[in-house]
Amino acid sequence: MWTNDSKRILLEHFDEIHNSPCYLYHYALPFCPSSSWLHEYYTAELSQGVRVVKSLSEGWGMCARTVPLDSILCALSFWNNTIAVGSTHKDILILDAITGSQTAVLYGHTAGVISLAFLPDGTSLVSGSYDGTAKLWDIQTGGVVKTFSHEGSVCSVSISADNTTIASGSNGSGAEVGTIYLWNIQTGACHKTIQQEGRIHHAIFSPKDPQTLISVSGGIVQQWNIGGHKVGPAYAGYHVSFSPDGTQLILDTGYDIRIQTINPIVVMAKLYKPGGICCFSPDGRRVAVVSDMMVTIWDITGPDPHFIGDLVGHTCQGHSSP
Amino acid sequence: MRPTDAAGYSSGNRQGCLKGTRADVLLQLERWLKDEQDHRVFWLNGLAGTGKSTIAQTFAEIGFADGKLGASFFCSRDFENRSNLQAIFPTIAYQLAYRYLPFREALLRVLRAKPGIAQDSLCSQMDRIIVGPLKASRVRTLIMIDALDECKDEEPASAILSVLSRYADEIPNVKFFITGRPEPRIRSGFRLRSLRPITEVLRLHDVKQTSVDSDIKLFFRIRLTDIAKTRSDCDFAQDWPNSLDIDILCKKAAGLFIYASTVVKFIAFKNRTPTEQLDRIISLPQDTTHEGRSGIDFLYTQVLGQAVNEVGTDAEEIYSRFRTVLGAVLLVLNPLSITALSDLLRVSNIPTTLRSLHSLLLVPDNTEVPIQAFHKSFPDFLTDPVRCKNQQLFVEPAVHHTEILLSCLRLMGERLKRNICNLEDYAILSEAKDLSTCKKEYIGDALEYACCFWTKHLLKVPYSNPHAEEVQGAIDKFFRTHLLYWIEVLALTGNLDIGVYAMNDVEQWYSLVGTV
Repeated sequence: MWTNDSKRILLEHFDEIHNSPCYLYHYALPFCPSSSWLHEYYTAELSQGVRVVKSLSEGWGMCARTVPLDSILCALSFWNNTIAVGSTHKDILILDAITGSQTAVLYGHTAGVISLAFLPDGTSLVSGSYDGTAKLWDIQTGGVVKTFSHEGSVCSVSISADNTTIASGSNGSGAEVGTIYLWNIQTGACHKTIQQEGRIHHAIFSPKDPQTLISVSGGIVQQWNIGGHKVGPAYAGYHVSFSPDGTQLILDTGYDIRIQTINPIVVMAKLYKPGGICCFSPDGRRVAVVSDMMVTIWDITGPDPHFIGDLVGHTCQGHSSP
Repeated sequence: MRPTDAAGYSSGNRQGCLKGTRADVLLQLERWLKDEQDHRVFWLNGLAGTGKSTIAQTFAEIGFADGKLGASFFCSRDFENRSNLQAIFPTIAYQLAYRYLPFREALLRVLRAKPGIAQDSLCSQMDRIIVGPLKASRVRTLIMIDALDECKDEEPASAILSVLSRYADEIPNVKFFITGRPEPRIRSGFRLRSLRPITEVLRLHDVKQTSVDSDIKLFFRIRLTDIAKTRSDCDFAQDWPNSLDIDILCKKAAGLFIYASTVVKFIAFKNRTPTEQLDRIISLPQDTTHEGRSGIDFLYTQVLGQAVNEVGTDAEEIYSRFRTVLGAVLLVLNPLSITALSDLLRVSNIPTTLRSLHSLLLVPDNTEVPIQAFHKSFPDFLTDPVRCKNQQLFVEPAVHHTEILLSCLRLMGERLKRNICNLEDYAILSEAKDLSTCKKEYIGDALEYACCFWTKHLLKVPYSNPHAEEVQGAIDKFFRTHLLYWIEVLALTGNLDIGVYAMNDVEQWYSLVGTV
């Protein structure tokens, strides 16, 4: 009980306290939720003249720390306690997920970074940028290990479960629109391109099966094998994400959110919720859907999806990470 | 850019090699430095106590005298800022800038264009503040990194080495001299494709035994003769130290220079007669197990035993004070000065207690300077029940971590208060005047240490221990009365991140105790 409130008061006002410690007494303390023990033990510390006149919220909000960025957020990727942040600014920020503090900056791209993916072992990160390159980074040293050049901006990057292949999606001009490139991570050579119709939105590997790839372009979802052959029929969808075990997908069809198995395609559940970006939690028990400036969380362990709660507070569309 | 103070070769109390010893090694190094050849990186490796840092120190002095040394970084795990990977390149750049004017100009251009460098990744640090300015200024120089294994680094192949391997080809005029224990990640770092062909390697523990032995004998002979010369208060036989004794000492040292230097400090102790001290060492049981470990264990036992006698009789009270002070000196996570230790432990006569340990601990005359063990093998010995057989001296880590934890909590309870630095209301830290003076005056090293590290000691406290209730009581009291003041000190010292991690530590400890 002690530690949770202590952490929350620290994180919620991190930057303010860092700049001016007395903020703790003037602002952070009086605005603690009414259920917090901090009120009970530290009333004497309230600044003179400060009195709580209106009822405070009962508990802490769901947001632990807000990290201000000076550019527009475009991409996020997670690995354990590390978050990589890509934005319209060309540098990639690495944050500590426990404190939210910045631990490193990766310099190298010459334009905004719009896609990011950690390698499954967490030692490296792949990024895709408006500058027409994808880069493989060594996280510890922050150096670029390899650069993969494309015709157009790299809007999607993904890594196969066996760490051998990078799939990148790029929209060049003319005939180059909608190409998926498959790269050998060791040699840096492109050994396959998959041409498809429409502007590519993203192309992702299954987290378990290194042979399976799913692409989204122009409202169409298609499964591929690594040889570049179509697997199964195409179907409508604007956003797709794998479950952690690789057996299911969560899919935004435009008018509902579906959870379905991939081989064969069987719809397991539908959430009648206008769609957006959606993803599974790392334990596979919950899903998050971003729409209308908020994130909704659903429990999918029962037969029917069960609504858990909203995370409000985003002023523009968020990007969901597990 | 914040360079690390005291990381260069000229600071601190490190001593170089005794003149005449390690001559072949130094000769090889000087030849390497002089020659124009492909090997631009020199890796000096050796096991604990074989004299790596001492050679590095001597080589740095030689390199400086020749005007070839550009920068040196002596890593040390005892100091947060000297084991921090991120600090290495800024410190080197700072020293290079101090030394070479063209480099300074080039570096300033880089920093003006983009000031913040401390948070940069290692690669971009190397690229921007070392390689770039070096290329621009065309400086020929030698850069030295000592004890690379003591840097906090989790990479499978040392991060510094992988950065080096990437840029070594771009700066052909620069030589790198690196020392360290042959740990796997450092070994694999030197095996990197671009590093291997340009690296010359010398394994100190493979240097011919006869050459090492003759160096150690020379060391004993010169240092002991020095002692005989300076101690007019004692009588020495004409041939003291005789060659038979020196042979025995040399055999006991079994190739370990740390053994030799500890023995000499022990014999030189001013309150005792050197001849008697020498006899004490000679009469120690001879045991040459692996790496001569046991030999040094007997030596440590002897030195400690005498230190206790020096303070008084064998009363348990004296032993207990010894353990408290030694336990704290060896177990704190960042070395503390005598002033800070007495503050934290509430022990008043620390200098007296430590007086006769000067052959094992570096106890500076200035009470504001941190105390350290000379060599890592000493704390290893004292906290290992298998090696330290004397129960009265053995420092049980669990017991002493508890002791330090309770001291931290007590100190925080006494000192923490609202607006500890007397700042104006609504003061913004970046605009506050004399903040560092205020911090020194109102917070101080001991309290800052307690605030930052108490939970680290908590994690080392076992859940079933006689003081468990006392610990829990103290923690409850901390949260009820001092939490906000604690956060305030963390903010003042720029350590808010530590606060979040500290709360996770507490959670982890409670979850193991099972009484959340």
